Amino acid sequence: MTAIRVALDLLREAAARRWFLALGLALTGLLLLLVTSLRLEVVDGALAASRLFGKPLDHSIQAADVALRPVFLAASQFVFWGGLGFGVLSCADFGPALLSPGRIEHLLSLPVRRWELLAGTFLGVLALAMAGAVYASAGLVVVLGAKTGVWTGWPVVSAVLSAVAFGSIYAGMLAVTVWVRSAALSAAAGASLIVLGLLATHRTSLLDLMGRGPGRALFAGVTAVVPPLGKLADAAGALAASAPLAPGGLVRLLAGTLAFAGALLAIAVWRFERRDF
Amino acid sequence: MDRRWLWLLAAALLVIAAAWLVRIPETRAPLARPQVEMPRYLRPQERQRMLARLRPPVVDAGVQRTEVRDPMLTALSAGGAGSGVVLEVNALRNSPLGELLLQCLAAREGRGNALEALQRMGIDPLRDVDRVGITEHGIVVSGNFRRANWEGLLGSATGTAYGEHGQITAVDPRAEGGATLIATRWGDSLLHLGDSVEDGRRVLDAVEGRGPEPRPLLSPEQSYGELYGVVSAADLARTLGGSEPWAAALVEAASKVEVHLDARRDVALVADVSGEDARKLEDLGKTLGGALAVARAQARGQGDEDAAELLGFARVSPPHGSALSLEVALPLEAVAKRLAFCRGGADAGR
Repeated sequence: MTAIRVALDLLREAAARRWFLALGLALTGLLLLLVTSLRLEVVDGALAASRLFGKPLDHSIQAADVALRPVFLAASQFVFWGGLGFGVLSCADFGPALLSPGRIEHLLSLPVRRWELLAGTFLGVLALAMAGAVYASAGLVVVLGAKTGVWTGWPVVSAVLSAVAFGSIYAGMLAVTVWVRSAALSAAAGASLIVLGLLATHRTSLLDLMGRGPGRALFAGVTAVVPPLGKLADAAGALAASAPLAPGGLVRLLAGTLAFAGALLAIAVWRFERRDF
Repeated sequence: MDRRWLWLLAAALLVIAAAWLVRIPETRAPLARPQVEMPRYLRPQERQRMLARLRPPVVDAGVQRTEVRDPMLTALSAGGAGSGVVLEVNALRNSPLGELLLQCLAAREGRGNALEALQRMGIDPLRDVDRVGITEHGIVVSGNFRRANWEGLLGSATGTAYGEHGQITAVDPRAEGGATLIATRWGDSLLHLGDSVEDGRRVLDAVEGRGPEPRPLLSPEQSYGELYGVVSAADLARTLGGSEPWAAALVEAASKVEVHLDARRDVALVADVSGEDARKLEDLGKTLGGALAVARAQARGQGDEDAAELLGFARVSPPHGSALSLEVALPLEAVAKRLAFCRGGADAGR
């Protein structure tokens, strides 16, 4: 419970920041733009006309849910990669702010255990990422649903996947912050993890291109642990576009990503427990 | 234990779990590149085989030569060809790869195939044929043809005698057309099929030791592996053309390519590319290595795991002196998988 209280405290702090206000306004503006500018009625209109006249008027006509798949796919990729990038930049300061002189001493004087402080910060950022991703995707679903009559919840599930992916990145950022209290370094760690996640996605092909040696072994070792973000993004896209997914693959990916985040958090807690303030 | 160390232990366990979970298993494990000995020299059995094949030349017109020669390789060199390949039919037939190929042939042609037709004429290709060599001047077949029904095979039991043991027979074209085939026999152990009597005479002269000795296409010391041969730069250029960058680089840098294939169990192929210009060879090595890596990555990117796996079995060794090597080591399982389409049976189409 204490960790959740810390998380809520972080959310209050985030609400006061202009970054998140700007994000909320930008997403709302984008959704309003879609509401006013998209002319998707034509899709189902043509389909209805085909049914009315008993034969297709145009063989290139697609059902609205099929026609919308690329839109949902593109939106999921935007939410996934855009969310990762925005999250790394906007959340890099939460860890250093928690550990800032004066504040950390005050927090440690309260009946809060150290691991609860870190877990609460992590959960707060995760909730923030989840809220942003779900707001964007749910808004898109509502806009497109109202326009075309196609209602699907999968883009929202796909957005949750993006938030989980960001969770693994933020765990690394938090772990780095516990060692060195620097927002820049925290952001750099996040960016590095995104790059490593991309490299891990194409691990097999890249290993094929490398000659045997310590460099290859190091690359193989690091990329064996980091979640393959590209695969997660593909899975998020497939979910959003109602495309088929390999059975069991997504569950394993998600579990692996959560385990990776848990490992980094455990390292952060281990260091935090030993550190004097 | 200090409670704080439990966090580190938990982290270690979670890292292991993450590594296990995020690596979604492949639908099938890729085959490993087999650790096979590449054919680079005569193995003891091959040396014995090579020595057993050497014959002194036939005494002719009072000139006796002291050297011994392999009639088959001499026949291949007779026309002055720059390229030639020899298939050790008997050795290949008794290898796992040969078994697969035979199954393939039987499945495609049925038992009443060309092999049985030849058997009816006294030549069992699987038992009587030792080697088959191919050059631009024709095909040379060596083996034991004592029981051959030459009349059935060539249309005549005897031909025009030439030299000590030679006979040249012109085989008329079939009813459906084609050129006249010139079959040249040397005793009961060598048969040359070409398209001119001149070629036949050259083969017999070379084998019996008459006239100037032809420049050897392949020496007996090069007769290792179940398939071996050389390809000249001119033939290489004619074959490859140079449409691909690697092909253009190969044609430009190579003066000769020597090929040896070992199929005793896994299939190992060595192609030694020799050239005059060491720098061009170095460039060729890099081009070939790069082309292999790119092709492998492209195949994997396009989801063609079979092609990626095959390309993974090939590698280019750095140039040493005036030659570089392309080595391919294919596990027998990979070959069997590729031949499954023609063998039929349970594993076909896998």
